[in-house]
Amino acid sequence: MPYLLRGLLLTIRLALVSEACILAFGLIVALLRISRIRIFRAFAAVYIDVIRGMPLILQIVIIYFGLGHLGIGLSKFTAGVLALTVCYAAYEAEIFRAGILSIHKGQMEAARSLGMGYLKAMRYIILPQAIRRVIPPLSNEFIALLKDTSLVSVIALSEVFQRGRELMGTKANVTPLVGVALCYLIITIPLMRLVQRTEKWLSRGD
Amino acid sequence: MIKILGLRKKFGHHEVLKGINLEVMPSEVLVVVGPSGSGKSTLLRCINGLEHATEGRIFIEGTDITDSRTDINVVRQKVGMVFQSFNLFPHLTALRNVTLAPIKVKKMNPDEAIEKALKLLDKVGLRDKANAYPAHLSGGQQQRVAIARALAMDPDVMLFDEVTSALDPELVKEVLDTMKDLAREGMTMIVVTHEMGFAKEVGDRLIFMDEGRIVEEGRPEKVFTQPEHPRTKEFFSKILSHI
Amino acid sequence: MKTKAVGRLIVSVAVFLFAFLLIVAGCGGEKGLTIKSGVLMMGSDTTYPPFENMEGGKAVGFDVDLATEIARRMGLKLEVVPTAWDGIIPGLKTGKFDILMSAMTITPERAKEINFSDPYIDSDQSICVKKGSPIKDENDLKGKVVGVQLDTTGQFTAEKMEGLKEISKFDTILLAFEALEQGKIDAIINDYPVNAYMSKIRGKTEVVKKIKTNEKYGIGVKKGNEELLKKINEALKEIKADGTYDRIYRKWFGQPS
Repeated sequence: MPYLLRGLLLTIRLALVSEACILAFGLIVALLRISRIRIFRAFAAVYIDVIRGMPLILQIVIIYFGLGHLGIGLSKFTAGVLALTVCYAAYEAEIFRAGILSIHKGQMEAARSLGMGYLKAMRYIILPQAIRRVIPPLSNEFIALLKDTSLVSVIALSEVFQRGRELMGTKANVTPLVGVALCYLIITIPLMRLVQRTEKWLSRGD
Repeated sequence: MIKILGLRKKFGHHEVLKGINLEVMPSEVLVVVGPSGSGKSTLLRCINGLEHATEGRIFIEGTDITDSRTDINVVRQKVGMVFQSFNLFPHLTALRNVTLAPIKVKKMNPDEAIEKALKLLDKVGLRDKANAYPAHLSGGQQQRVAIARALAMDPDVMLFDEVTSALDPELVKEVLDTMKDLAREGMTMIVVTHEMGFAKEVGDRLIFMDEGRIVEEGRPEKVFTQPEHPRTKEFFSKILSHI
Repeated sequence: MKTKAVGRLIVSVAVFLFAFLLIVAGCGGEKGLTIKSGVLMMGSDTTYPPFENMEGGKAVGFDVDLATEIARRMGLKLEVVPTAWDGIIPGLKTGKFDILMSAMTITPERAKEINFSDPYIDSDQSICVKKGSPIKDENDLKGKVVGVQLDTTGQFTAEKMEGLKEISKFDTILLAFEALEQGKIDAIINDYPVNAYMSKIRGKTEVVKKIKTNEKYGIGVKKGNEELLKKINEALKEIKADGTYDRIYRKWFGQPS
């Protein structure tokens, strides 16, 4: 069991580091997607479509081995974080975009009429309101991310799922998989409860 | 103060403003009246740069805001705007609504901004609501905060876009009273409104717009009582019969 | 009226289901030697040349040729069921296929879970490195990153070594070679025939050291299926005796056994 738990730590570390990168990058992509500059919009739209149209496991292998062929050597952890970031940022960008567009356009006009530039209005008026609205969907994405970190085992990152499969092989039975399932559940179930409560709490504030 | 020459605005093929020429003097209260769809709001939004003029020029204190080299954000600081739907920032308290722009745009010292904001809230009669969030204010209170918010930038002219239309009748008066105070202090104001009593009492001049054109202008009382243009006559006969 | 119709519907659905189950049960009814009559199903992780890999949608390799021959002598047709390595023993135990043949080393732990046939090939471990690497033997691996396939004797061998920096466990040996060739890992520890074969066909790596482990591959059969195990051992003995085994060995490894 300690062997599995150490794998779980790597899983959590992967999820947290990736999530931080995903939030930053996803927001940037969302802002590009709604930008008035056509090239930015086009770039973001293509990026989102291409990434969402491909399985994550393929992106992981491409980033680790594919970039390796081009002479870009990444560590397993970096490659894992990069792949998860590239993939999830596309989904979370769409969530951010929907959140931003859900803010009444009068808010932007009021901010602009006070002499705020576009970016200032975004930062002080639109985003603070939009982010409150996207907390629940983003939290659900985080739970999905936590589960999808299992896919990085394909590049030999020894996270909890890989360790479970390894134990299953050496012990030649399936009890380690039950352990792996428990490892995920002790994190995901409290998170799901938390998301539900946050959702309720936020809707009360409206 | 404000000078508009040959202003036209098209949305696609639909021309909303068909050549507006207008001048507003300092401390003047100009009331804009007309049926819905006549282009009143679009005119205000053009003056604030929220809509780009398709053709023509708009000078605000000598600065041509239709010139692409003009920094519209600087011009907007001189032009305050109050909207029909208040548009207060719901995630900020009344006080923060008023202080945000002075601090972030004018780089005013926060203490100074708060002091000033409290004075303005006092002026609109809402000092005790400084720490309330918009959701906890009535429509009339929200609109008065919105006025204080616009005033905090020390504008030279204030634009009011049907600011009482979304209010319950019993809340209209408090907002109009605030506006009357402003006019008395010498603020230059352009007011799009259906409140004819207000127009008569406060307005220095009234323009009547129809289908993107100014069809009549003059002292409010005169336009009300002796309209010359048939469209104006028809409009006022409908509205004033209610009073 | 309506309830009657619903009742009739339920009855007819139930009758249909019952008939269906009878038919299905009838298919597997006669308790044969294998799961599917006339067919020997072989579970195999087909990512492991030259023992087994997919080529143009077909499984090929030493194990596949040997199993085909065994099946033929039992009057059966071979069907390869590609299966991920870590699911292969559970797959056998839960009856997804009749035999397991996937370059699997006979170990006491595995022998607790399944039965093994007589060994059909010797397979020592070996160290494989990128051409030109200074690594020559086990001692040079100290502080290095070693790649293995998850849950293989290569992994167990590496785990017994001291001073390794890290053991990278890949799902398939092909990915480990990809990583070795890109310099992401320093060496691979894996079955000698596979390391030799991969180095030959990909050309960027070489085997620098054989590690004697006295390993032998066996064919896995579900515990309790003694009759099938007996028949396989008989066929295997025959194949070895009449020279067929040597022919297959030479085809895949280029030298006599």
